[in-house]
Amino acid sequence: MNIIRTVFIRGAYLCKRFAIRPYNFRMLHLLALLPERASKVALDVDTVFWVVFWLSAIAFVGVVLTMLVFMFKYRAREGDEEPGEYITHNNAVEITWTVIPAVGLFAIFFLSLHAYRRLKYPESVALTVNITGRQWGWKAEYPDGKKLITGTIKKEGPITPKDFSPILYVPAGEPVEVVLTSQDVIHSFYVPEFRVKYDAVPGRYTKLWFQALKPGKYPVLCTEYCGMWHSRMPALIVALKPDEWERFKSIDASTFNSTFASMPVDSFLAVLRLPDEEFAKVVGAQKKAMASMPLHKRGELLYQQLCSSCHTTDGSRLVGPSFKGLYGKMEKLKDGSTVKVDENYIRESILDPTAKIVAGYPPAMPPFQGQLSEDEIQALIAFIKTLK
Amino acid sequence: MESTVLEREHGTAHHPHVDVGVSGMKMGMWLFLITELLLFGGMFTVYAVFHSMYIADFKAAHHFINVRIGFINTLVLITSSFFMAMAVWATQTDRRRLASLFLGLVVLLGLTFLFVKLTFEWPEKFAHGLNPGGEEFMRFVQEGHVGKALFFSLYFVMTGFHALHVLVGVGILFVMLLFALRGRYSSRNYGPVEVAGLYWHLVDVIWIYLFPLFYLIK
Amino acid sequence: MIESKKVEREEARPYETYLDKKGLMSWLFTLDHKRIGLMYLTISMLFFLVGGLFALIFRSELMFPGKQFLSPYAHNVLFTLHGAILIFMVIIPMIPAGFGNFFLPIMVGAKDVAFPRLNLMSVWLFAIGGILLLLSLLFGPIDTGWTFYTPYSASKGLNVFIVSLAVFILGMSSILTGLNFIVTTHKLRAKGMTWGRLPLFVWALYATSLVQIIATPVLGITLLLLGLENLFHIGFFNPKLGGDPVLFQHLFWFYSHPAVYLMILPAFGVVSEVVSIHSRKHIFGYWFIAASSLAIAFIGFLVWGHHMFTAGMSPTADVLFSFLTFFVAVPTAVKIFNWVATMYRGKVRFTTPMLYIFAFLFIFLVGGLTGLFLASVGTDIHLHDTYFVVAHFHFTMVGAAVFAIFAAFFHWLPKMFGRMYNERWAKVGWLLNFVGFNLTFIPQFIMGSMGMPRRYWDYPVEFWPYHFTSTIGAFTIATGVLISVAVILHAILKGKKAPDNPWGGMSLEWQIPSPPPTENFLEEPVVEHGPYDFGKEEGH
Repeated sequence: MNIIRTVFIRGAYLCKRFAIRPYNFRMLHLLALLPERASKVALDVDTVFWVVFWLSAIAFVGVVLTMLVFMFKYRAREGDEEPGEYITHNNAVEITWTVIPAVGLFAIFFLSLHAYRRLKYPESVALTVNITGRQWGWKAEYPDGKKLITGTIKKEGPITPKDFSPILYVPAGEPVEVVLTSQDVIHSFYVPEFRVKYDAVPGRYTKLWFQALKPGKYPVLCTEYCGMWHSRMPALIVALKPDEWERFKSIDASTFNSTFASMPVDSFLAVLRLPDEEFAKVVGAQKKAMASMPLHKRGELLYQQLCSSCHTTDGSRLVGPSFKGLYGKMEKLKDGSTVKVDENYIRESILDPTAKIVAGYPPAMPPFQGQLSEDEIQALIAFIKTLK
Repeated sequence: MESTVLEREHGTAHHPHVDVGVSGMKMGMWLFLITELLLFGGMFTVYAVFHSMYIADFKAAHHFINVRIGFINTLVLITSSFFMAMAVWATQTDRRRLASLFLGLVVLLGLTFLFVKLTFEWPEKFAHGLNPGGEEFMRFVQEGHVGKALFFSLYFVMTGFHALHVLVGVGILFVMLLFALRGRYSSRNYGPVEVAGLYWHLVDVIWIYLFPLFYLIK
Repeated sequence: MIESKKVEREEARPYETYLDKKGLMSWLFTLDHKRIGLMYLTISMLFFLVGGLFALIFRSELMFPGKQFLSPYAHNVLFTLHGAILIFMVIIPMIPAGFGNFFLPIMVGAKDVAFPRLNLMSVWLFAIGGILLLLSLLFGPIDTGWTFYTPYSASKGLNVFIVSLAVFILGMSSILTGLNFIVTTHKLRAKGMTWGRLPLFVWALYATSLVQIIATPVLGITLLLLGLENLFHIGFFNPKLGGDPVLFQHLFWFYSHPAVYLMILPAFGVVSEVVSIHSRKHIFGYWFIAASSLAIAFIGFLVWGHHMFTAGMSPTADVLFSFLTFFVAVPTAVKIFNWVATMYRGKVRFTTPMLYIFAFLFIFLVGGLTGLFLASVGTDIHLHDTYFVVAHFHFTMVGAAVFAIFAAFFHWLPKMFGRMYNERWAKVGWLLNFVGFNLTFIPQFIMGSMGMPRRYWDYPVEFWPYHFTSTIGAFTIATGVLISVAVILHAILKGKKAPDNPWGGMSLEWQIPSPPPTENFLEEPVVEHGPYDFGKEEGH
């Protein structure tokens, strides 16, 4: 009895907490089978889905009803030990119910080919972005050098799209191509509302494309099991209005990367929607701040984006050693030798983590060779130095 | 009560005799051989894929292969297959001592094959660091010639699996040799020898495919 | 008391049944296919409960959003082991190696399988493989998913190697069984037992055995290569060493797709038997059903790429695999129509086995039809790796295969043990299983098409109602399963004595005493009619 009570109490608590009032469940919404159609190709995909659905429903109801009718009409009455009628086969019937379903099935195949072609081949491409999957987050790089990085949501409490960080800002109404790869294991880039998905495979490039129908925020979920935090590396694609997109394009890459890239979505959107003067002021101010931002502050931003999922700053152990008191420490390595943590050691550990692994830790860190500039590495070192 | 070989062969006291005959035994062995073909087929597929991806590297890797030893081993196996066929014939025609002799020769040649591989060929490769994880192997990877490294991974895996099958075959044939010496096989009971022969011929055939892929590729 | 019972039994029966000889050694070293079949059933049943328990644990975690009590690693381990255990130790072997071993020789009129000693080796390998699987937990439980995709699974270490070895050994067991069945069917049929008089269960086992012979070795070598990769870094599937992760997927699915037909074809065989006997009517379309088993086995080898539509194959390959996948739906549909037609003008009895057949047809229809959404490339891209796929394969593998397993148990239990089960409680178990099953997996279809990915330890809160309902369903199934297992155990130990032919079947197993004599037949069987000739003589 206690368990049932607990279930109900927890359920009620959750409802209150997340304002999912039971009577507001909107039952029809619960039984909606597909999310909102937010991309150009979604209608083609959904058409196939619904055709298959209704054909299947008819077939299902037909067969089940027939079966129920037969079971009841031809049930053996009490005490009746007689066998049924001696009927063994009927070739005409067999051929009929082989040919008709075959025809139906191939009709579905050809219909789905159309949707597939639309999914694979965009008519044109307005923007190409490179996205790399990693354990456990995404990295996007624009042609002009803008970079966005999302990470892992590790909190134990429930998550919702409000917790997701943006991985892409794209123009609504224009075709965008994403070139995918992975730096470690296979991930998969899935945007349910766009109906697109493709695996991010290490050692090769794969592609997908989409066109957002209207501005909005669209969740991205990793859909190929990639280890411990597979379920907690979501992201958002933010489709912008034309004028917002123009604003976005106008910000130069280095300013964007060190400031706006790590801004929460809503704050950044607010910036993009400012009147011209205000906008220019904000960007100018950020440029100045970036130029005069102390090295260690820049390092801190980078730390939050790239290192915090595995290294803490408070001394506690996660996947890798904590950065607290790291600089200047005498570290014992896996091979038994000892090394003093200085600038060179930190730099090497960032670029080639498996070169000198600390004893008692797994070789789990991905190399950042080719992904961080010398400036960024120096910023990180400066930040680590501040953690006494 | 000590049950004799013949009693055990024809079913035990608590189990009825089931006789599928020589044709049944052969059918069973052919089905098993099909599974072996698919097992090696998987590896041949992997070879084919990487060969097409790294043609130049595969050819360059050949530099490290000892063709002479490979050729000797090929002769050894083909000869052993001949003796195996003779052993089957001798059993079918009740030439008991000849059959035992031929079986013994097959065992000897099988052991020779393994001896040559494990005392000359493989140690030489290990000494050069060509095994997965070895010095030369890792150098291939670092230089960007991953195809060469894959070639040697394939070499060890495929010839290794093949050698395992030779070893198992030698073991079974050795036991059969002992049985043959004690008069177990005859024209009325030659099935086991014939199906063992089928297995041994498969092992030979697989080597005949492996040989050009690793030793003759240039 | 036991003494007098034994005397009474021997007086009543002048022959030895296969259960009479006692002692552990007589079981461990038996050459009797019936005992071997029972050992398979027992081992499988134990692993069924273990795999099911794992599901209950992670479904409890998933009942509410956010962390409840499992760490992400523990959750990932549990779904990996749930899949590996249930697929390799339960669904694949239970019907063919369990019921097949017991009944195939009897159904063809033989005293045993073609190679009884190989059969004993099969079950030993089966037990060893199962033990190795469990032993691997000692080296760090694997969390790779039962599909072992590389490179994630290629850099784990000894635990993956041990699991690879375990699955390889289980594969050997599977191959030997298939080999035995094929030779038995060809060589040991009794006088008068033509191919056209074989029960359809035998045809199903034959088709299954062909798949076992051809598909299993490929999985064996693939996993062995994966194991070697973990130990020696040979690099075939590791891009850093020049290898290709997608190559692993091709090799893996080349077996694992036919494997699903390994799981379903024997179940189809059970359905043919039960639907005919419990409707007391000749099966409709005997040759079409037999041929469709072979067709499914064959086509099943051509469609593996439909697991990889988002993996990196060329569009040509995508389209080809999609096209071929639609083909396999045709013989499957034909079977369903034939089974339903069998009930037409029959005398249907609402026994527990028949209820499981009804449930099977209902559930397999859903499973098969939802496969169409996945066969169409366009929709598959949206649905791949979501809970829609999870629901689809649970409908086909659990709803169909497991329900067929229960049907087989209740249908053949009287024959295997000479005892009857309690109909009322068996039906209670059936109801809980059927309702619970739908409650568990229908919400999964919905949340899948709404975008809920699979193998997720936690999910956005919006998916909560579906997960909640699904977990309630899981506990319902658990109750149903426990009740059903209890009914079966009670029947075996204390059930009322059953007549030799409680259902009035016409295949050979129903013409011999229950439980069967050690040598199956008291006199040499001569077959003069087919196994489904109900109503033939009377000219109905």
